[in-house]
Amino acid sequence: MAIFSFLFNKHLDKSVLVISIIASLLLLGLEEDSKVNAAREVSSFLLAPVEEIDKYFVDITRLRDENDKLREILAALYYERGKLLQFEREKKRMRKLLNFRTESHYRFLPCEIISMSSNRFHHSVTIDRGSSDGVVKGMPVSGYRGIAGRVTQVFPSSSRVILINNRSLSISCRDRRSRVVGILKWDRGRYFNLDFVGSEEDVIVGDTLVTSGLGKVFPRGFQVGVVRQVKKGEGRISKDVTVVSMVDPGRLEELFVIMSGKEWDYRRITEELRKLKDGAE
Amino acid sequence: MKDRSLYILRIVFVSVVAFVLQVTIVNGAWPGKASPDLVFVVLLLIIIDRGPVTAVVAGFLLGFLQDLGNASFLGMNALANSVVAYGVSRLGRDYLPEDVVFRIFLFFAAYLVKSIIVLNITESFSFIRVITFFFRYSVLSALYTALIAVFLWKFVQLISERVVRPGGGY
Repeated sequence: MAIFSFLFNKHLDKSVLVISIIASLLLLGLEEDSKVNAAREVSSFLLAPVEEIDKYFVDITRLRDENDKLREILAALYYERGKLLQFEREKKRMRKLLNFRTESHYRFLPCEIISMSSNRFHHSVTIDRGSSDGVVKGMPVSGYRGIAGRVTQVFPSSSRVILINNRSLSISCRDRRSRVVGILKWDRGRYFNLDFVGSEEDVIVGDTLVTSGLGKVFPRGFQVGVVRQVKKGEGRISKDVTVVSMVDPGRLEELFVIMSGKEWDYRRITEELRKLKDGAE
Repeated sequence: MKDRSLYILRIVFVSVVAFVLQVTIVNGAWPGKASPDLVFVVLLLIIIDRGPVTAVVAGFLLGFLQDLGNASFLGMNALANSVVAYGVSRLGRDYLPEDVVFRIFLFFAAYLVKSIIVLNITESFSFIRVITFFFRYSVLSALYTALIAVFLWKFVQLISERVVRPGGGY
């Protein structure tokens, strides 16, 4: 105790000097690897805030570049949009001139999947929207990228949707490029077969299939899948067309119930049916 | 307590800035191989009016900071700076008058002592090599360092005199 008092009270300056010299010599005596590691650890600790600031500025530069690119894309998209609006107006005018029916505009009701069926061949999901939200049996359901299924049962606050990979579901599709029509049926995973495609019909790999609207089950023009393989057997009258679906039925999280549209205005139909029923009574 | 924390924070900031300047600008762009040691300048300015305990601790820490740039000799600058800081603090406070000429001499000598310690460690006590490097680089570096340190010391003094109000306080 007396020696500590002597060292740290009477000769504090010399004691600190000796301690620092010993510490320095110990550092000098360390092995090369230990020195480098120690220096690296201390440097990384000291430079952490500087690196954070540096990262912040690097991020700003990256975001600025990204922003510039996005501006370019936005400008191009504005131009495209202008052109498309012009085409839309022209198309409407043409359809009017040709006495075509007005095309439908759809309303999408977002919903979440609350449960999935465990049956291997009857893929279906339950969504968190039901009759209280205006969902009606038969309404088509889509994912972000294309058609996903159809409502088969409706409860007050939930509904059951059979997915496109359900064996019982067939979708009438049209090749967007060549306008060839076929019936899409699930094969395995995300793969589907497009049936009833004649051996001479123009379907090639990479073609996009959209709903034809002919079956009156799904509205027209929604993307379904992309042609992955086309096989033409010798002497056969049809082609084997393999299609990959746009949506992955096994990884669905959010869906949209396609609510209305001229052809699909279920509320109106229901109301009319009720009126008819009331009138009959 | 708050003032003390602010003071330490200021010293840390100035030291890091000096270290960054030394590594980035001085070592790269200074004409000739002899160049001033800015971290050592900061150390001299910190310790010149402080007690030896503060001087040794500051010397060790700033030396350690310099050593981080060259991990092979980790502890070398810490050792040299601690010893020199102790000497400068003792001489500057107790023996030498507060005069520009004496300050230049003190800072110049301090850097030379530091150089001798550093050169002996890096050159493994090879007398010929130590002498060669000492006269080739250290003397001129010591002159640069001393001049910059004295200039900054005088500048800080002038600023302090202007900032201190007649009634006392800053």
